[in-house]
Amino acid sequence: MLDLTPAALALAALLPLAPVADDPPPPAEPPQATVWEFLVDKYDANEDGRITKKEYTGISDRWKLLDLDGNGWIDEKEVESRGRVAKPRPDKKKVTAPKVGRRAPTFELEVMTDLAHLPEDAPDEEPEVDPKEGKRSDKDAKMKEPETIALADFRGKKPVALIFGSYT
Amino acid sequence: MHATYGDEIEFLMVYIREAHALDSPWPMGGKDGAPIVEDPVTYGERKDVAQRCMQALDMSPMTMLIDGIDNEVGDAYAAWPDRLYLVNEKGKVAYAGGPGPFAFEPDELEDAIRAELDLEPIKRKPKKKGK
Repeated sequence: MLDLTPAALALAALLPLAPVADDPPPPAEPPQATVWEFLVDKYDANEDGRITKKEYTGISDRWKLLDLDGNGWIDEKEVESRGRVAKPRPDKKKVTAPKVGRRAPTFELEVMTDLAHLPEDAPDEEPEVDPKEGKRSDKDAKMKEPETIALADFRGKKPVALIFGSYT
Repeated sequence: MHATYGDEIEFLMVYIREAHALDSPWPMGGKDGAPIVEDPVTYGERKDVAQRCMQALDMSPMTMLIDGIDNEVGDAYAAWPDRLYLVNEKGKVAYAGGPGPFAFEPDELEDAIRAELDLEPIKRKPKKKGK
């Protein structure tokens, strides 16, 4: 199932209306579980149908966002009836958006590779080894080395549209 | 928009901190149809979620970058939960959108792109009050 949050729907406006003909369709996500099914599968170590603070190994200061009544354990009823908690952000870091006309903050970030669009045989390929050097070939090194892009790469060449967002 | 301006504008999608992770102050996912995501703790976890995002939303026409787990770039642009910018060839901010989701306005970005490319502006219907 393709899940689209409001931000995801807005992002769709930035994309072409139809995928490129040669591109394989992205793999379908598995059937959607509930949040409780997700949590119990991951954290309910003794499989008693509830998760205690001791069993929870996620971010410790996030436990209070799950255990709303503070009794030290959560169950399906508590988790699925939460709604939006809307508490202040755990980190109250003040951030300011750069204004028009000011220099854009520089960055250099890793490029994500869409594994769904790699050739089908790519994951099974053995690393190419140079028989003389006994090392990985340049081709393999390029595959393993994370590619990065810096904002400065485009200075003097073309404008850059930055679309910030997340999955949810 | 990418199909129209992609030759002249570089579109960079920057994956930042999750907006509605299940262990966040504004949880979503599951019954409401939104994806179930825990807030990534490590860079590796963030990459895994970014990969799911990339495949589910088919972001392939655009280059997708991933912010560090320290959220340095997202914070520098006050980008959370989502936001749009246009940076001109001189490296200066030509357009700074408002914070999403309510001020996430792709039309405004397109208007800024057209202005940057010296193209005729698009005539748009005035927005209704309250939007």
